[in-house]
Amino acid sequence: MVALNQLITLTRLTAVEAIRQPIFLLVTNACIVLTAVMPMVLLHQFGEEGKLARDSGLAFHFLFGLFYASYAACSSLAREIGSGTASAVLSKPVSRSEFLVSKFLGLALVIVAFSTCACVSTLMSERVAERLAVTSNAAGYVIDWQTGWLLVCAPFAAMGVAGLLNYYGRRPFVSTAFLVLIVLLLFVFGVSGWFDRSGNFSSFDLQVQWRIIPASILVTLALVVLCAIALSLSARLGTVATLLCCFGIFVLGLLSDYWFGGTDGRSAISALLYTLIPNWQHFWRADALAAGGLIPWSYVGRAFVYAGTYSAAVLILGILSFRTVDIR
Amino acid sequence: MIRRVFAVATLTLRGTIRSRALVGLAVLLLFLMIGLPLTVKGSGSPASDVHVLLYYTLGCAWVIIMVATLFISCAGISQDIEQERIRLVAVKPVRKSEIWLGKWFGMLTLNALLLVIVGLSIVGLLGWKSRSWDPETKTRLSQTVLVANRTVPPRPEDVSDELERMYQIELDRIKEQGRSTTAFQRKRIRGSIRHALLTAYAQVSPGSGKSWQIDIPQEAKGENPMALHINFSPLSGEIRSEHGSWSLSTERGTGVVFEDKIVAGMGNRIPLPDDLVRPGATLNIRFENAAGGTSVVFDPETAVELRVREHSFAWNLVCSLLVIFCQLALLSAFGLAAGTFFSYPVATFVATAIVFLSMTGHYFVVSEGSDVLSPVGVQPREQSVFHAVGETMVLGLERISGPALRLSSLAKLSNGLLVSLGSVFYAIVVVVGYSAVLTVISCIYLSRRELAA
Amino acid sequence: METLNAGNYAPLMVEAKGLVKVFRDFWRRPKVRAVDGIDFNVGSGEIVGLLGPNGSGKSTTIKMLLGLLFPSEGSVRVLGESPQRVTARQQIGYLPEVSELYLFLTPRETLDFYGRLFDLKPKTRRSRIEQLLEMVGLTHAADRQVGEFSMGMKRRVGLAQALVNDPQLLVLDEPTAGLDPPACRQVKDTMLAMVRRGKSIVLSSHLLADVESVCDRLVILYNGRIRAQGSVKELLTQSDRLSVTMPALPPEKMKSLLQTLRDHIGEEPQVEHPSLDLERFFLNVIEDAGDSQLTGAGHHEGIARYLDGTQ
Repeated sequence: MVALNQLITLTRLTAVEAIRQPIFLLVTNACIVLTAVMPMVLLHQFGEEGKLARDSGLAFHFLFGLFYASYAACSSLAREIGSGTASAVLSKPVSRSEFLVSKFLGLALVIVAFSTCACVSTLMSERVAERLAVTSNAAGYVIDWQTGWLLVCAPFAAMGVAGLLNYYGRRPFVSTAFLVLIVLLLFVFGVSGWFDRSGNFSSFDLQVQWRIIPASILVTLALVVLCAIALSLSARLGTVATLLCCFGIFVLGLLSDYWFGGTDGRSAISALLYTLIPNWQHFWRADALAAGGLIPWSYVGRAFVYAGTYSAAVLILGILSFRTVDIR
Repeated sequence: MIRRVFAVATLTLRGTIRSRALVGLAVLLLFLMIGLPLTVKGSGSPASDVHVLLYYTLGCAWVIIMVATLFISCAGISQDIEQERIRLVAVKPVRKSEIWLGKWFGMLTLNALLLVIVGLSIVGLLGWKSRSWDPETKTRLSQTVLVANRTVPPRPEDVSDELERMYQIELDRIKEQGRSTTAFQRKRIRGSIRHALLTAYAQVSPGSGKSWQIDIPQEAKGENPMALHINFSPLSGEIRSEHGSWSLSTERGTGVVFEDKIVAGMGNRIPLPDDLVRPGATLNIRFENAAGGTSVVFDPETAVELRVREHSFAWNLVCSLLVIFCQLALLSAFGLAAGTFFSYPVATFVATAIVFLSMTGHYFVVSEGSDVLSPVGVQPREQSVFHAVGETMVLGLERISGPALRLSSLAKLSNGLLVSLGSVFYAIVVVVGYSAVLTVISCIYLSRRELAA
Repeated sequence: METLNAGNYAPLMVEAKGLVKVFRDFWRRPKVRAVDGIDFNVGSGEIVGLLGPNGSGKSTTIKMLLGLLFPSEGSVRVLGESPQRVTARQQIGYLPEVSELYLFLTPRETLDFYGRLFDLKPKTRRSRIEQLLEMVGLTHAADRQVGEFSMGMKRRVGLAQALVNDPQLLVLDEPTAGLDPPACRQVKDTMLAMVRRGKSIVLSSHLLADVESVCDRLVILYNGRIRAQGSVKELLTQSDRLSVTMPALPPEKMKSLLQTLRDHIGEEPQVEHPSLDLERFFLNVIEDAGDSQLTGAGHHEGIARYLDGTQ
């Protein structure tokens, strides 16, 4: 019970510290704004409404999340060791394994929070994208500008509110802005259900493609896996070195199918590398949504198991490594 | 000043070498340089192997070094400030500009070292691959890929009259619809009409023909072999197929019909006889598509070109690496500047985002879709402020990043095309110009910044 | 507030007038008034001690002297120039409270790097580096990376880099923090040797015994303002009391003496044996022990020759 309380305390501390970093707000806002703007700047739909907005949203979610996950993981541990707080914590009855696991859980929570915002943005961005609309006397391609504008403005409005709270109430800017952002996103999400694509009030209908959610969850799992990798590497390497390694692992994992292939008919080394290096293509299934396709929840479940197992294995290696690190 | 800049540069280089960042980078590069050629197979021919090595392997190495340069340079000053190490340096008799320049030169030295390693690896890998090539293959590769050929394009198609006529028709049509156009949109319209015209002219139907005139440069040396490169595609049917007949003439000699097969869907290299062509002459190339055959299409820019051997592959590789070095120098300056203004993570993010947007911004075209259903007869809305802002940003980004983005040499190197000294000098000028601006802005900000706050 | 005069010391090494430093938040609203109108001079050949509790403005004042912070009001001149100017910093040595060094460098490389920033000739630089390493007792660890050092060892490297240019003005923020007593003594001896050569030192410390033993003048800060200033002797002497040191007397003579005193002063005199201060006693013990075991980690030589003027 004591260990559980310690784990929860350290996890909470990690999450709060991560959310208060300016880079977190910057990455989240940039992801939301770009996702929102995408349907308004794309010229061609290539025959399928909303596809580019959807794919772009998921891609931004992936890329921004990758950057943040790898940076947050490596800097979190490095910062604690460098500032001496790690030695302060580890001098208490807290094991190193617990310390590292709580770091991972805290960062995973933050990644889930980021992913939630990204997912909501992608859902709404897909809704905003150009659709062929037909009425009794007219027809044309219509962009849902109202929802689009609300979505674009949400991050700026959140920062404005946080600025006011910081000025008058001396609340910490970054964490306040993020909390306000979540509220505003949900507000925009809800409000958009009461308007049609032309901005006219209508019966409640969110008009979003819920099938995007499994794809978004898969991307979130990828981010969590990379977070685990970065955390384990940062036990030994500095920030820049960890970022470079994460970049390399990302590239290798992305091209894993092509370079190493499957386990059939390839050399033992290729098969081993294919197994060891995380295959990011397992988590990128945006193409499956084309032409009305679905990602089955069973696949998401299997991906969850893969991500969980891989993260656990990487974390175990990280813990073994961290046990022998000198905390000065 | 030089001693102090050198001291800071040495410090930067030492720090990077002793950090595990460089070890990780070296391992990744090594893995890539050895692993990629082994796993990525082209068409199986030696030429495609060399293309894979030069374009993909060197290209991937370039991307990795580029990313590493950005990450490391962003950390250069920002981490010194965050960890308060800069205080002990700032109280010494050293200017902020000397600190900044020292950091930059340290990065340049690191980049130079990495590129030397990459270059030597490429040469080594080529040497290793060439052991299995027969003499004929070696000769062919030394003429096509492992060489520095200058390209001489044919005289451009004159479409100006037709372009103006069609452009005016399009503008009138838009005006009749009650819409107005911005300068950006007019530029796009003109470009797309021109491209459509050139594409139309590029198509040759059965029974018709097409001609090109190439002016052989005066300074082309007689002893350097010249060759014609022809590349075209059929509109239908088998990709690799023969079509029509080709003939060649100059004002001096009579027409010569090509004996060699010229196959669509692949690059054809036709060595030109020395007695037929000479510097300053005009080469006339004629293609007659066989009646009853298939229409073929010639790319308006690269279908037919004369290639004159200028220099060796080694020269080309060195020039190419110099251009890449200039790109990395610019990235280093950019990363250091970002690190001067922001904390490390924010600097990395901002720098990466700006570089990415600069490279891909021109792919984004502001949508012209309407926002309301328009019954017949109702005037559509004018362009919104969002469109105007978006267009301005895209144009601005293109204008600023354009000169830097034009620094590209890998495609030329992997196709045996000359990376000229002119392009190297252009790269140096761009780097010096942009870096000077970044240096000045950063140093002004650094000198006004409280380093102990 | 009285201006702190350097007395007969000339020229002035540091001249601060009406120094104010206000830290502001993002909205430019005042957050903390760390320094609130300080007039502060340091003359040639003197050691001035800055005292004060935590948050009194000592470090902020020092950082303004060094140009790391910009005064909100007032002016500061170091060696006759603004500290922003490169030429002013040529003659300054600074030891911060926390020595943030480049962890991937060895002490030798660290001193070489900072020495190069002063444009020292290679021969001079090398000679000084060896002398400084010997002085701070790091010769045995000269080629180990600073990242492996304890805090005390890092502190010594920090001290060495502050002295590499034989500065005219030395600014020390907690110089003896983390150092063992012999090293503390050495730091004090170094300071005194430099002052004898006409250098000036600004010293900030919480260790009052250290400040008392080396400083010529004291400035006591509280809440960003000067609360007391003057020479050590002026501030600490109780002119209405006397203490006498004499050899021990036999009990009868002692009794007679005490009775005489009692009759004159009208109160019971206090008599006790004088005692050494703990630092002196400790150093005596170490010196006696050290005579028989000369080598060991952290063995300290005397002051670097170029600092005490013998080179």
